Amino acid sequence: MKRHIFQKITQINKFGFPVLVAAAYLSLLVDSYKYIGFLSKHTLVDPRYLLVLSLVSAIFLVTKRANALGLLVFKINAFLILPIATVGYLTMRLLEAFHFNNYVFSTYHVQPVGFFYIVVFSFALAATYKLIGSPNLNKTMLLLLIPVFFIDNLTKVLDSAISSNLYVMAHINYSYADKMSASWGIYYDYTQFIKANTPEGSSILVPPQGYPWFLTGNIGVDRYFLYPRKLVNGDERQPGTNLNNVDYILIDYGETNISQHGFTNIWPKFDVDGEYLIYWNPLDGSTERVDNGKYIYKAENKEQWGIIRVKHDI
Amino acid sequence: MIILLTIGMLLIWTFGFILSGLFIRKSNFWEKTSLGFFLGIGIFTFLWFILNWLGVPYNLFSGLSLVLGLNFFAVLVTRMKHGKWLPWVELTTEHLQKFSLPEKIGMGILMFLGVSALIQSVYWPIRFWDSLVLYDFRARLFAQTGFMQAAISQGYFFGYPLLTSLAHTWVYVLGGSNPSFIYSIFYIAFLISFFVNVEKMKLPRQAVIALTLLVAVSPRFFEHTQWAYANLPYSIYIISGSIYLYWGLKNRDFGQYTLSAVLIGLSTWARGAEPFWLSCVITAIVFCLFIKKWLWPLVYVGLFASIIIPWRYFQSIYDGGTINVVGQVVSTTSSVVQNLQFSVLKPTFDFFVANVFILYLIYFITLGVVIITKIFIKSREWLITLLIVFDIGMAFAGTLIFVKYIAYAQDIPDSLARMVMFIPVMICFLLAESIAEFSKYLKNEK
Repeated sequence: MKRHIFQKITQINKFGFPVLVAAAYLSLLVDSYKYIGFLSKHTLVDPRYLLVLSLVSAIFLVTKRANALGLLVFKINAFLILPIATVGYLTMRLLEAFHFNNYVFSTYHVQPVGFFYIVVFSFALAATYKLIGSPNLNKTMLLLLIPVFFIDNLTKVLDSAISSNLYVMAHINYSYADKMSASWGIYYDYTQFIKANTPEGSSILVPPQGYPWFLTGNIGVDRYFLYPRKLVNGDERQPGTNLNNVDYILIDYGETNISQHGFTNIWPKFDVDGEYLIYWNPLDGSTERVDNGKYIYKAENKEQWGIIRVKHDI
Repeated sequence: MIILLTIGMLLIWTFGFILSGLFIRKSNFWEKTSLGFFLGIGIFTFLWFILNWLGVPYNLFSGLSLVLGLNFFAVLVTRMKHGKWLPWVELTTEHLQKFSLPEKIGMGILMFLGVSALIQSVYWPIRFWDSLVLYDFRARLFAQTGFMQAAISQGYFFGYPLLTSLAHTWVYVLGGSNPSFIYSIFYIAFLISFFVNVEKMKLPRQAVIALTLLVAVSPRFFEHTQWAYANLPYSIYIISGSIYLYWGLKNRDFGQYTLSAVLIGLSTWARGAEPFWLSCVITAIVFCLFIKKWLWPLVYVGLFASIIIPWRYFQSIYDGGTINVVGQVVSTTSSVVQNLQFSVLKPTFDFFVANVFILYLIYFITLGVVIITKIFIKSREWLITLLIVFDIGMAFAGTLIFVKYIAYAQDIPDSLARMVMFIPVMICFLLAESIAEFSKYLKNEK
């Protein structure tokens, strides 16, 4: 009875294998074109399940001697799909490394990580094909099932490693400042401007903590870049502290346009008597100094960055 | 700079390497190598902290004197205990012989991941949120001022112990500018350690490689080589401590048993808030009663306490915390019991499912399959399973308290996911153990 069922499964698998592989490739392509999870959301069929099923089917087929159709699928995969998919994937990741993160998706509407599933699948099929005829095949194939079930993690981690390595290759000459700028964006450049224009030990009033100043308003992060300067949070519409104890106040548009606690872009939203003001252009890093400058808050949403040297009462 | 940095890190490793020989005499070169790093960096930073507390500044001289002294001490004790100046070393090469195709692919991927982690961490400076705000900030102030007062006065200091911060400080005083590579070494050393420990189960090499690969690609592990958070070292100490507790009790091996106590103690030196050490300490005590090793638990608890207590005492002096670990456990447990109401349990359960079970789904499915298999074959090996179940229970209880008392808990699900990132790896070890057990069962059936 058991033997009969086993033979039946073997028979079905011989014909099911090409169908499963084709379905897996097609669904992975659709997901990488739309987004990962698109098919499972709309059809309840996750391409990754098809991928795992196909590999289980391939492993089963190889241990039982593949038929001509099965061998043809293996050959097309190994000699056509695998090289094309690998070159395509690496090209996408290189394009991202040289342009910006998400460049490929925003330009060609293909997700490299989604496409990488095709590469991994193709590679796994090719490796399975290569095992035909090797000794202890049944035992080997059984053990191969372990990583197959974890192929999702494997794909994500490998993709992350490959794309990160390509980024490093493309930006091998980056300085510390370039790397931090690439990681923290405008915020890092702004802290360097503040650092260059305030002496160590001075006290600086920064915006309240919350969006749109989720970074500049967070003293915990600021101190890493600005220590040993003393940092104090102000309120949105008033200093919230005696300005005689403050040396500088930031002119801070905000790192995002997101609002929290009712805060909106531009800070300070109060006037400040300043000895001088220095405006900073985030696009090119240029500065403009205005002597005897009083900072007057205007209720307009104009992007401004800089620093005010507070005039103290004598 | 590079030479000094290399010498400084090598001295840490040699100390740990020699010390590991005192715990497990007949371990091979690779096991001692991985343990050498874990023990070396953990014990060195711990003693450096104690010395600083006593007034010795953090600087190159104190660090070098300490690490040289530790090496000398370890050699001396080895000589006294084993009659040789250096530990017994067996450099096996059988791992590297006659690879089949799947093994070549598996080893290729493992090496690629290890090298990639190293490349990334050498290239990128410390740049992620918590590492900037806390761990590396403290390290920079320690290296600049030589003492802890400046960092303490800046606030946000006592939440986490100093293992990773002092490891960064060591890199800075040695002239290095980027301590990120430490985390890649943790990752690589742990993969070696896992490989060696699974190999001890006499599984085929293909299975050992496949299981090590699962650990290498386990969620969060690889990415944390770049983050410079304390989660990766913490997870590694907890997992290694659990594995050596397993070997210690299984083989009635006092050396591995005490090694577990040190590793679990060092996990609390990496992160202090999580209570997962509890599962190992309780298991170490209870199982010893079964095997009638009455004095072993005293040594275990003594070693563990000697590592957890100093930081807690330091905390209690400056920040008003408590050193009464047992009292804290009792009060936390009673708090959990009091909160067992449906109105709190339901959102906690949903939060836990969404951020732990879904993320690590395949591992929990594996855990379920393994438990069913163990029941089916009437297994007598339940230690690792118990540890995992205990840890999951504690993670849930912790989440319960978190959701109850911290208003923004729902906003930081990633913290929970990071906190339990060691559980999938423990499940991989359990999988290895149950494959070995199942193979034995099949042989006996035949």
